[in-house]
Amino acid sequence: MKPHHAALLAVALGAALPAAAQQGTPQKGTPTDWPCVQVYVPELSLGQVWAGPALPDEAGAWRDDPEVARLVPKLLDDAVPAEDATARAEDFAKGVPEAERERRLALLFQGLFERAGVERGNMFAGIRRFADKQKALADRIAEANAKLRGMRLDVAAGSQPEMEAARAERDWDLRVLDDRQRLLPQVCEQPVLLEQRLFALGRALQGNL
Amino acid sequence: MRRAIPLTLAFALAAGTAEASEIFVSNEKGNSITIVDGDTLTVKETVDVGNRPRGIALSPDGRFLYICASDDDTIQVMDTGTRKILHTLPSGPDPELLDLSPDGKLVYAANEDDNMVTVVDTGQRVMISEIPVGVEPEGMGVSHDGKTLVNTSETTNMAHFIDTDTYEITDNVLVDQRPRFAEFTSDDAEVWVSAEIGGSVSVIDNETRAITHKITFEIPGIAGEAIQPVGIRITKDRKYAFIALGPANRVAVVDAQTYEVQDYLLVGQRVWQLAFNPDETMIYSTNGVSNDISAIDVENLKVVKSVGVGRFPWGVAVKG
Repeated sequence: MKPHHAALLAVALGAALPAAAQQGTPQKGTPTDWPCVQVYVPELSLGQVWAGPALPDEAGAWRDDPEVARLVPKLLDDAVPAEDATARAEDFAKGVPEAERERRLALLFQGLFERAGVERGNMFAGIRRFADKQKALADRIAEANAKLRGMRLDVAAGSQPEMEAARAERDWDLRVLDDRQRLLPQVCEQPVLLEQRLFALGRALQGNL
Repeated sequence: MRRAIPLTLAFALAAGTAEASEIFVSNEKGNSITIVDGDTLTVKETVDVGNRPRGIALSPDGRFLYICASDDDTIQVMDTGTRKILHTLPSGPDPELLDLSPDGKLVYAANEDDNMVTVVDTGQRVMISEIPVGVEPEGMGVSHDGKTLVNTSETTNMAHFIDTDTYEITDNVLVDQRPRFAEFTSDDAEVWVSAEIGGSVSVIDNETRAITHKITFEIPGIAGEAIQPVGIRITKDRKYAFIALGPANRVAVVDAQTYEVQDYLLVGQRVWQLAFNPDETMIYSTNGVSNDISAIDVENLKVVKSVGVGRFPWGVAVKG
């Protein structure tokens, strides 16, 4: 095997291992297919991001406040830089009359927390689908390698073209696997960026209470 | 004119006061040290250092900052006045946390990768001993009398008590899962050891080397597994202990006499290490994921400000 292929195969085998196993310290409740170095925490806890007034008891109450309902998706839109979103949240907070402030800022944070929770859940599901696909591809490469080993014994019997085709297919799979694997840190970073934004927004609101 | 008098007075007072304290923060992913003004809580400067700087500590006179450059397998020594790296010390592989002897002559560093604690003479710049400890050594705490060194090993789940005259382990105390940090009370009567996965802090009697109290944490609205105690600092008068709770994003305030948790202050994301200013009126936390530090007013137990630093702030030390 060429050295380049050996390196790619190492990537393929690595891809089949969950990140926690590679780090040697599996976390409680972490699915075996979790590929990220970030700890698997499937749900956000309110206490991690909010120490302000209690949020409304009724889920989705924020949707009844038209201004809040319009603002929530804008503040969480990743096309808007986090600093700009934070500044916008501060502007909103400052514009709310003192007497209304606790209630409406809690309402806004309820919207941010609920919506970020849904988005984050989708991201987690996406990461696991990504990991499953990588695992399937790594399995296919392992099978192809076994097949190629068998073919090598048959070269004398005249299967050279078939072997070349199988090798080319295996190499293509390795390349796809490798390219996708390079994206993994970015993929895993998405929930972290969302959490950073949510935390910064929460802090900005609490700073105006 | 009415405003001019107080302003003049303010300048005169400022000129007459001692130099402002400086907060040194290691940025694990930024490969840098950020220096924050302790008075204004604004960033003064960010200086590039070695790769993956984590644990940092100041010499007793504040002239030198010792930096674990984990991925460079070395300890860098920074002149805190010029901010230049003066030289390196042999640390063994992957140094993570370090502590100094009270006279500043020795550095004790935990080498996560080779299960050793390395002892380095800071004057001669030579390694004078390597002490085999448990798997993945991490926390390092030196008693104020300099006689005892406590190292925690993440995988073995132990606090190893080491005699600094003989470099022999005298006691091993089993604590909860993944112990990360060891802190002596100012009278050296107790050692507090945090357990990141265990979610607890064990208080160990330094005479009997037995666990006398175990502090646990419960925060409404936060899942238990997100409460991961790491850094600990205890006021000299033992009024308060502050404990960084990792991804809970909170610092626990504990009554250090009764071991009762009094409050959980929301600081920043992934709160990691803590350091007091010299007169213990403020304590600073490094918040790895939100890339900032938070300043906590010790008397009022309020977070007064968060200051953006470099990427993934990890260690913190304050020069008076």
